[in-house]
Amino acid sequence: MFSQIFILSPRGDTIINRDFRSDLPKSTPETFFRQAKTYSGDANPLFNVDCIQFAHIKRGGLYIVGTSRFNLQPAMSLELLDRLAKEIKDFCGVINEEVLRKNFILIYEILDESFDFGYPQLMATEQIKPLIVNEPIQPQPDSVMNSLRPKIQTFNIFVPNTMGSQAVQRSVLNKNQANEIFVDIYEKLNVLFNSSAYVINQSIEGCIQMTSFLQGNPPLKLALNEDLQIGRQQGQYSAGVILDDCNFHECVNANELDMNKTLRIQPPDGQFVVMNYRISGDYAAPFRLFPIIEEISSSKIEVTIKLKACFDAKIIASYANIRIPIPKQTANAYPELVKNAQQETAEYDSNKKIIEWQIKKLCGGQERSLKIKLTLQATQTAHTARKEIGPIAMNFEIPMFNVSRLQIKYLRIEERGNTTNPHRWVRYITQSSSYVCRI
Amino acid sequence: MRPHYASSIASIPPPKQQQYFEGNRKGEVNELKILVKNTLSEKDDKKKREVVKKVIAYMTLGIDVSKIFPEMCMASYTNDMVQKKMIYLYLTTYAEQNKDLAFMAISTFQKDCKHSDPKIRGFALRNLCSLRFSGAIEYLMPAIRESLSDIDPYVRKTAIMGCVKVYYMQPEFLSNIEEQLYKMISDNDPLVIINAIHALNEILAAEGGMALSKKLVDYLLGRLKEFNEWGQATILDELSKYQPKDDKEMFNIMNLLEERLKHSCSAIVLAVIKVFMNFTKNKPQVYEQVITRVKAPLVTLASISEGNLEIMYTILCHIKFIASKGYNQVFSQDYKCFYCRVDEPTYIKLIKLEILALIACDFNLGDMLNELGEYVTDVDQEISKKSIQALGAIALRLPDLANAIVKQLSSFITLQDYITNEVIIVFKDILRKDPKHIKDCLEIIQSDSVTDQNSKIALIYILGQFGSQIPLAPYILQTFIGVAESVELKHALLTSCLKVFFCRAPEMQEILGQLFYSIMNNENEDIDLKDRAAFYYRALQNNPNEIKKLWQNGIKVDKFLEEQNINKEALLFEFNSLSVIYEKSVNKFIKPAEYFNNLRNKELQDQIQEQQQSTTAEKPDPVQDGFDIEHDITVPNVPIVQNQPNLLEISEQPKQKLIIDNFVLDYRIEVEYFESMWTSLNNGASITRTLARNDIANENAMEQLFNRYRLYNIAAGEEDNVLQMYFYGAHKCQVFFEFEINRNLSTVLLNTKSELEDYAYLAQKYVEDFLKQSNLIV
Repeated sequence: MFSQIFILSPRGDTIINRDFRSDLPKSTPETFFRQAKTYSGDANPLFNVDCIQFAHIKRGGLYIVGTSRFNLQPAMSLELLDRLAKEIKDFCGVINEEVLRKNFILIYEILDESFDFGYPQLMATEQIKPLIVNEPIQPQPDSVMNSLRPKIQTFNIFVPNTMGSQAVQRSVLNKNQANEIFVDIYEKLNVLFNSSAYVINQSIEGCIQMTSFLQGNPPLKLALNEDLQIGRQQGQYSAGVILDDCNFHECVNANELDMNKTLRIQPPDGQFVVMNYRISGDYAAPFRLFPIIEEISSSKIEVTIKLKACFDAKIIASYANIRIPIPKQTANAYPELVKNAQQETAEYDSNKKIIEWQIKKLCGGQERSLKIKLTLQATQTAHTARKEIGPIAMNFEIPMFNVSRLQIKYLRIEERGNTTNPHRWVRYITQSSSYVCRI
Repeated sequence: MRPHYASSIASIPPPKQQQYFEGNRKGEVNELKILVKNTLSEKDDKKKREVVKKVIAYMTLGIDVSKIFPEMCMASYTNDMVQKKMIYLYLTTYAEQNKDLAFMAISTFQKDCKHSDPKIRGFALRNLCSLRFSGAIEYLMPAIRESLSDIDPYVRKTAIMGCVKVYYMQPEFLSNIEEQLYKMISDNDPLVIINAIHALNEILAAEGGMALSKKLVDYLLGRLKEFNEWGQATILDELSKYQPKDDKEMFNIMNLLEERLKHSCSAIVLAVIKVFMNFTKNKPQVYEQVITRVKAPLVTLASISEGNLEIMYTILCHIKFIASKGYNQVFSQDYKCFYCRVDEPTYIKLIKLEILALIACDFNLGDMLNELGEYVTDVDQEISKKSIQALGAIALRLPDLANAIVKQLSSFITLQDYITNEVIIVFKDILRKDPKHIKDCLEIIQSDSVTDQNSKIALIYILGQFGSQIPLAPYILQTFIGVAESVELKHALLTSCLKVFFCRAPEMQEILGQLFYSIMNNENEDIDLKDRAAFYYRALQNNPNEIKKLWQNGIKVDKFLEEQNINKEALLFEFNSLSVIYEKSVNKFIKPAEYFNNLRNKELQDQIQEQQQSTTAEKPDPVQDGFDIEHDITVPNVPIVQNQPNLLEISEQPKQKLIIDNFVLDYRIEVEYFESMWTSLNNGASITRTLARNDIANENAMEQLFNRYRLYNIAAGEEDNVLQMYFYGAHKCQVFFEFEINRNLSTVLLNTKSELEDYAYLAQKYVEDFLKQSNLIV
């Protein structure tokens, strides 16, 4: 199993370094970082250097790395690191460099309960909680992962960018916290349009995630749609919610799912994903993009993009960012918004040759449009250059909306005893995963 | 009474918060050592915590703080769990380098192993077992044996891991432990069981790990759901080594495990699949059913995995592995799941492209060609190249559909240079296999945007092979002559020019002549190339027709050797292991423990050498205390002075003994002076001994004793059965002592400092002798 576990900052500084078996050189963090930097993008999660095996995951910009001299079970080693990251998140509230540096002693404690001689030991938050003596140190409030969200979202694990997530960014060690549970239904949409706005490929990946601060981990009963169906027969059409496939967390008993669409859950502390599902069937895409390209002259192109929000007017997308790559030979580009456009910006990044169109709020039913005037360098003609425009990638988040119509009918807390009725918060969040329009 | 000066020394301002990670200089370690030493006597746990935390912060940074070992040992006598946890972490990290001092710490560990709280028992035992030096074993084994039958599972599971730790230090101490470990598999606690399995697998590694009987398998499967995810994955991995005795048993087990495929933990799903595969590997039909059955869970994990990209990658590697073993059609329906997405990192996209290349077939090819065509224009060059390679691989695998692919690839020529470069390489392979496609490649071949070295070689090969069908072939070849290129390229050029010469002699004759001239008249040319050119030249002069005949018996390629090799090797890979990820057999990336031990030892030696160098360069280092005491403890009857190892570069040391008359009678100094000297001096000696006599172990008796030997008390205090006193004296120079009797642990500690280190050692010896005479210590 693991020989060492260490956590490195994005710049390669060691924040945590625990050697369990003392059977590998001490210089492994440097070896790891040097190798990871040789990849043009992110490094492969599993690689070996000089017969030392490195497994790593990247969370909050940090490298969480396990080393070994054995032929590891690859999935298990990465799952373990992921579990460790979740434990740290449960105890510290969030996971980022600042928090880890402030809480490194606490993290050593977690590590030592989670692993002994590199083998996984107690790995559930509620099992470790009684063994922890350090208190988490919260970061300065003004520096909490500064609330600016990245312009182009990197793939993050079902973390809403805009919804008030402070409530779940707490430590499970917080003693006077409310007795409550947060349930989120996240759906990530994957849609591919061709140039005539026709859908070529679409799918949904979703999950039901819980963050439990319930006292005493009481058993839960979660009921889903009555018309829910798992497994799609070929060519079948049904009005109900059909999931192609799904899987469940260890704490879930899904025996009654087929019968009465309920899941029985023995919730651990902190954050966990009750169920993952994927849907490959057709659904109405929440946004439609209509690109029009006109060759004005041999050196000028005009691109017009219309965006339509095809959902209920009561629903508001909290942001929608659109990115349009333009030809490498572009001499100049002017994105023009509609007159009186509000909460909208469009910028041209001349280094990357990309137009960034950002819309802060968008109600259902609304339409927006953007016109881009391109001037090309003399070396290329408009006719060949237009091939280089696109694909247009869109990035958005729509709270309180889900495409699959999967719903939580009720969440019952069984064996409640005398305590007050715990709060149950349910949210729906839809995000783009890969929302692309080709030209 | 508390030492009246100690508190004032400790009022050195505590480290400012948040500075743990700043500063990186080794000189700070000395300061830190003083800080720790001084804070030890502090009452305020909060202050102490901060100091200890600072030490751990340094340790994390990789700064060697092993010098502080004695101080940290002393600090371990605390009841504050927060400090204790940190200190134990420190001690276990540096015990290997401070073998001899580590003995000091053992007593605390031992005491805590008997604590009433199982959490503390387990915690102490875990750390005791992590002290990595052989001398600790004799203290370890009794503690482990006792804890194996502790009432609390937390302690038991820790004790089992302790066995594994001992196994790597001194396996002979573990005689007959296997029997007990096998028994512990029937423990009530799942974690105890899992640890016992791990332990048996490590201890019995030479015999292939734990032995699995049918009874054991039934038992573990019966309790499977009691285990956490990692426990289940471990048991399933064990199970994959088991062979059911008949089909009935096999299907029973498989039916039992089937619902585990619905688990969201990929470790469990892959482990189950491995069991299924190993059970059915000799039953092709059932095996194929298994592959069909596990497809959906794999695809689900590969597309969701809670957004855990690293897991996705692992699953995709396994899908590729299954597909490459001849089960590619199983995934053909789901081809859209392997389309790349904008938000995925390169490593995921690359593996997806490899899978797409494997699962392409007649009914999905249309869609897939469009999709792959889109990737060719991706901004990421790696993706672009890989998608071209994928298209090439499909063309090779499905010759009937190759035509469409060649046409599509040809349409990319107007795009970037790197695309053309890659396309040419792919064309070379396609044409080697099926020359008929040459007519669709002509346009791209005759474009002039080939810039990359390997692509040029591929182009030259094509020109030579198909010279008769490519109108411009001789003139394109001509452009390479005399240009500064690699030897490899020139070899290819020579071959191709000859080939074209044989079919288009009139056009080529002059060009070939140019080539011969440029190679043979170049003084700096590679000698091998020159020889080859000369050989052809003379052969052509001699009998061109004979050469032509020899040359034209070409070789037809049916199967690519590379492909065959990969597949054959892949059959031997173990599913759910790193082999699948790296696509290498296990002996290529795993080395035995000894290999790494050598690496580590070398690293350790380098470190010691570095330390010694810096020691000789600067002033003597307290690390040397270690050497001193080593000899003191192992051969207690031999006087240190004579046995002083020369390692320390202080061999000049006077081989003399201090006697009472060397000391100044009634020497007096001020408290403040003592304080400032004690803080400023950082080189000294220190020893720890067992307390042999309790009746005189009190402040008055000690003061009298030291007085008699002309050493004078300046401060004293007692708390929690720990008596702490400070003395001083002067012979040729001043000496200062910190003296402590710990009745809890029955230890006597003496720290000695002096401006001249040699005199500190001598004075230490002097005190030790009179303490022995008084029978306070042995």
